Amino acid sequence: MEIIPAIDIIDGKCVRLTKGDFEMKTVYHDDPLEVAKSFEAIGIKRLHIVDLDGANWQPLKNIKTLENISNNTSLVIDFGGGLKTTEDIQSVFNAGASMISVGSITVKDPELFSQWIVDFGADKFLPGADVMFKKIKIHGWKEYTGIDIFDFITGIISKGINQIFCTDISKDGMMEGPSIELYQEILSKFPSLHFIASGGISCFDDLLHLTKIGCSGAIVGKAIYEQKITVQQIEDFIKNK
Amino acid sequence: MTVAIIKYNAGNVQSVLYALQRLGTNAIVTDEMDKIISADKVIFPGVGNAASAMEYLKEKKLDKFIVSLKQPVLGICLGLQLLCKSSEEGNTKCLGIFDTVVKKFDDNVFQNKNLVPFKIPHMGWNMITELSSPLMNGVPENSFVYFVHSYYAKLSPETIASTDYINPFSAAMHRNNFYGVQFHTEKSGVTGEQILSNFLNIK
Repeated sequence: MEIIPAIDIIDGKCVRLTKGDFEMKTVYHDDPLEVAKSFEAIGIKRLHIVDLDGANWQPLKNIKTLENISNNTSLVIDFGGGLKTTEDIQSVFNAGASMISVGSITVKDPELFSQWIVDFGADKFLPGADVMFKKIKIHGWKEYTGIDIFDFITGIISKGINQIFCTDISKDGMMEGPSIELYQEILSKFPSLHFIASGGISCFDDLLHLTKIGCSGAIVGKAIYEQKITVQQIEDFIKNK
Repeated sequence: MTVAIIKYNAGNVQSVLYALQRLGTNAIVTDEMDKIISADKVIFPGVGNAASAMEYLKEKKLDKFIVSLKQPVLGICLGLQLLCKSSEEGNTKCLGIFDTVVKKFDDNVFQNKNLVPFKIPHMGWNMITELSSPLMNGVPENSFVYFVHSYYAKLSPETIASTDYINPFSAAMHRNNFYGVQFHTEKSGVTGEQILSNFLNIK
């Protein structure tokens, strides 16, 4: 299982929100590139960048940060946050992202999303499912859709995409442990899916647990920044996987 | 030294450009034949689908042109596949430099007795073994490189690195001035850097 550190960006800085609330933000570092390089130095290979300004209606505000990181590391980066147009998508790929994480657009404008898949390729998109009680929420977790997570995944797979990351909103930033049961249910229904767990990961044992149930990756934020999972543990995990 | 990256389709080559820059080399991205032909090295990237890529290359008359190139050419990912004889992706006739065919991963193979299927696309870091050719100079056996693909080139005498996902296949190939890598050198850390640098140093 790949450990995928999350870098959430507001105004060019690394931050973390608690439960998606902009009022509850903590600035972890002024320079995301330095953070990314420190991850690469300990053997991390992927990075999940969330442009929170983009998610908050200012798309591409932090694209320079993406460019800087992809230019100066060989990390496989997925980038997302409020991307709305084909031009936005092209700019993000031009800035060196390997994949784009998408959320609201898959629900709000499925035709446009399908066109992006034709234009750029299915393996260029990493759909994210923000879930509360097995239903999808969109727009920075504000809007309830009523779409069932399993129907959502079936829809994504029917578009030719075979990867997804799933955040249990009630767990994210709370460090109370990930939604093992939900993830197990998803993996039993979709055993061929590249499934990435996100949210709630709080300790090294969580990583072992997610590996055991068959997750392909785990997006980890706060637990790394607050050293609940140490550099040594990450290095050991990568060596032994 | 001039490096030309062949421009085609909606290909995204930014990370290849960045990787070259980290090695101190700037490249041009172009579909103009005179610029490609005069470059010291040519990179043939691959994005998307074999059938639509071949269609585009034919339309631009780049298919016969690429085959005629005399300088070192490196196909990356779909680029390698297009240099093979044919691809099962859309039953496409390809450029025919490498004497092997491209097949789709079998999605009915299970990883273990718990019946967990292999996941397709093959996506992630795998070891490469049985390395040969100047392209692999200084690369240790069992180095990890990054793959994203659903089709693979079968092993052949031109295989210069092999790997195993579902079945063994060609991770890299070499014939005359043509080289191909199935993995993404630009996302494969120091190993990828070494391979790109080897390519730039091929005489």
